Amino acid sequence: MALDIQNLTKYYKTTLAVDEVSISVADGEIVGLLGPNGAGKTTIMRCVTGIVQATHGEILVDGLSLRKREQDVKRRLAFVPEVPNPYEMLTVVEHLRFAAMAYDTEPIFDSRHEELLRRFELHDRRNDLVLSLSKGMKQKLAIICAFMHDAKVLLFDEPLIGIDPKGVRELKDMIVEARANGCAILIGTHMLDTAERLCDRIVILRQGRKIAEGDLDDLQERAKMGEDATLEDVFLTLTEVDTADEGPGVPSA
Amino acid sequence: MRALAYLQLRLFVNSIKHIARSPKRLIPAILLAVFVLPSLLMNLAIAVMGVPRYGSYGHKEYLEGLQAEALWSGVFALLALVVVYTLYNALSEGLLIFSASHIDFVFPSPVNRRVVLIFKLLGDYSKYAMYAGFVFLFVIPPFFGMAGGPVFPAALYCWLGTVFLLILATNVSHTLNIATTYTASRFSAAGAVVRTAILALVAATVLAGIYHYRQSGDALASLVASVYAGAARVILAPVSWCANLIVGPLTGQTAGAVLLVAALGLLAIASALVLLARPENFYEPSLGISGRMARLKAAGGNLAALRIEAMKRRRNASYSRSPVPPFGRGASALIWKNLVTRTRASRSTLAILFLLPPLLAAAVGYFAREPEIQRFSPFAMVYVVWIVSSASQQELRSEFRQVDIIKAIPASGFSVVAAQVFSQWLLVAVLTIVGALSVLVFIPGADHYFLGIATLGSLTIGFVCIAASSVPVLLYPDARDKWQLLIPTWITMIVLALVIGPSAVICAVLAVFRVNLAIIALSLIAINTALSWGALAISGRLFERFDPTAD
Ligand SMILES: Nc1ncnc2c1ncn2[C@@H]1O[C@H](COP(=O)(O)OP(=O)(O)O)[C@@H](O)[C@H]1O
Ligand SMILES: [Mg+2]
Repeated sequence: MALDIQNLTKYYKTTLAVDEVSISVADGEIVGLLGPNGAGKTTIMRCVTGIVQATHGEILVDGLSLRKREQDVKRRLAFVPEVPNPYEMLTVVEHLRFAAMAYDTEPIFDSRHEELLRRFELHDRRNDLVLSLSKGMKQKLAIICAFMHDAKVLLFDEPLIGIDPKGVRELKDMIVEARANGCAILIGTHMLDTAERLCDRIVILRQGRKIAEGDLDDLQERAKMGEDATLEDVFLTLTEVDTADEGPGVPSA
Repeated sequence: MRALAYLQLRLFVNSIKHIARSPKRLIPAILLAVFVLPSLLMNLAIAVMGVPRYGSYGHKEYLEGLQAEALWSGVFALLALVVVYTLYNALSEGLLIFSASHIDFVFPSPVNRRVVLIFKLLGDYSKYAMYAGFVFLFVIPPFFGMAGGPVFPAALYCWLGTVFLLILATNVSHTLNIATTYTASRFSAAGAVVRTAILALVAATVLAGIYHYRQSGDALASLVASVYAGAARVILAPVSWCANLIVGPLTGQTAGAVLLVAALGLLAIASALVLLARPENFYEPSLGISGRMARLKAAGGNLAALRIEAMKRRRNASYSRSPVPPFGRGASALIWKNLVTRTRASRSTLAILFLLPPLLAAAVGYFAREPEIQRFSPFAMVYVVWIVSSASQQELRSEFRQVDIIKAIPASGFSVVAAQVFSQWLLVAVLTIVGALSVLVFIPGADHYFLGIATLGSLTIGFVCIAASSVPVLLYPDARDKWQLLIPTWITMIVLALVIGPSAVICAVLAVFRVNLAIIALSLIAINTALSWGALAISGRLFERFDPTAD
């Protein structure tokens, strides 16, 4: 397994954000992390990238423990945050160079950044300050930063919100290409149609707990719905908070 | 390491270029340099060459009447306050806060966490070095010269000692903060204990001072007594070393200065090593705080947004009924809206408004028994109002950012700006009236004629100041740009200094001749109406072609 999250629990002070969640993503697999707002998607990604410390649980990347080999693990990860805040006083190219330096991949910088800037149509803005970019452009910049090194595990937090159709197409292509190259990819989203088409497997979270996991067939079965039920139907059925406080618990496989 | 160095360098170079490229930013920056640099250079020259004219005075003459002990206690108390405040803050969440950009692009990267911390600390340390350098290399050295002592190494020692002291305090508080925030809860309990101990120490020192004052009635002696009596001096030994360094050149006791500097330096380094040895992941508090900050910045980085954030966190507050009945048409409806939002969102500000003046007046009435101080005390009001008015710049900025609403109002730019200024002024008016009543009640020795002048002066000066500060706000409307926040602050300072000139002259001249209050009132109102009208006309025009999103 390229990414192995084992029994992850995260408290922010006293708020329980993630409760004993285990997720694994194999090489060449795209896993969709679905859940309503506040389900804990962002928190899981932050734990994996070491931005916050897991309260308990273990995170392994390529068999290396985040706790013990933090820098080696981080070198293998790429992360695109939900609403990126790039450095406004850097130019686009400087920002990319900084990312390359941080991940120690300067040898491939020249060829890599040219190509990516063209793909995301930021090439003519390359020497502008980030300050002058629109919100969608900043998001594209964050995506390009993530591809400035060859990560083994890619983490995207709501990646498709705010970018234009051409950008969405490029990103999807790049995600599929990365899968072909053997990367493990975890996408947190609530854009269900994208998840349905792009992901090999889906994990549904609610209130910090994993409530279902599998491909669409498995999920339909679990929601006791027929073949023609869409992911949206399944998602809404599964995440409906019917049993008010009493959580649904992790399904017994 | 290299990545962060590159980042800092580019950020610095780009922000310089950013200023240099736009005349709107460059000109005020040059003006500031022109105003500040010569005086700095002059002080530096004095510091290096000594003070020839006063050189013949020995420190004994200079210090005649000035008690060395009182001086030392004052310096010690000031430094101790800074250090204790830093340590106290150590125990609250969010001492070590990184930018939202750092969260997104440095935290997930393989850059070593200790390196991230080192860069952060170096940034803070160099700020201390700059501020302390400003004080100890430029402002204070001439006094050393006047005292007849050596200027040059002494100033350098003061500077180094103070910087080391600040570094030490920062390191200790970061260490405490990290240890109590991220480890088991028994350490958090330790945090509460330390906090209580600090409060107790401060309270004991203050009480000792008050007790001495009740006994002796001498304020200076009480300060000395409280500082010497409290355990403060022992516990805060490094602070007292630093106070020795600063007061030494004035009293002629400079022996051992090198040793004190070296001791402070060693402590600074040792504390940095202890801090860097902490294993915890200290990234987390930045999330909550910087997330909030990022939203604030998007909202214009102002107080109103901060209060609204605070309201959001106050969950079950219900605001169904408006405290102010609706009034107004067109632009004057803005006044109603501002009143409603203010009475809702800034209750604590309003409370301070009504509590602070009586408290201050009572303190003056009780402690400052000298008749001259009491007689002239009303004029302090004008000063307070002036400060408050200059602070209203931030509020105006936040109001003008709601451009979708206020631009859509079918009224002239002049009346919209006037309505905004008037709403801000209401606050000042309330403050003035509460202040005047407080002086009347609590300061028996206050001159009532002066009180009248000060009240009228505050009311009119307040309005003209707020009107004038609307001009720089509208000239530099983009709050996302740090320079667009800084530059109008400088301009406002200059404009406000100019705009109160006429009022100051009128008050001074007429007050000397004890001219009838009505005449003073009329002249103040006349001159300030003219000035305000001018300012509002300018900002009204600016408002009409105002776009806060364009640069
Ligand atoms: N910095 C933080 N401090 C405290 N609580 C937080 C913080 N970030 C998230 N939370 C809480 O953790 C829970 C999960 O949030 P999050 O992971 O952002 O969910 P999602 O990304 O699925 O919308 C929510 O209840 C949220 O309020
Ligand atoms: Mg999220």
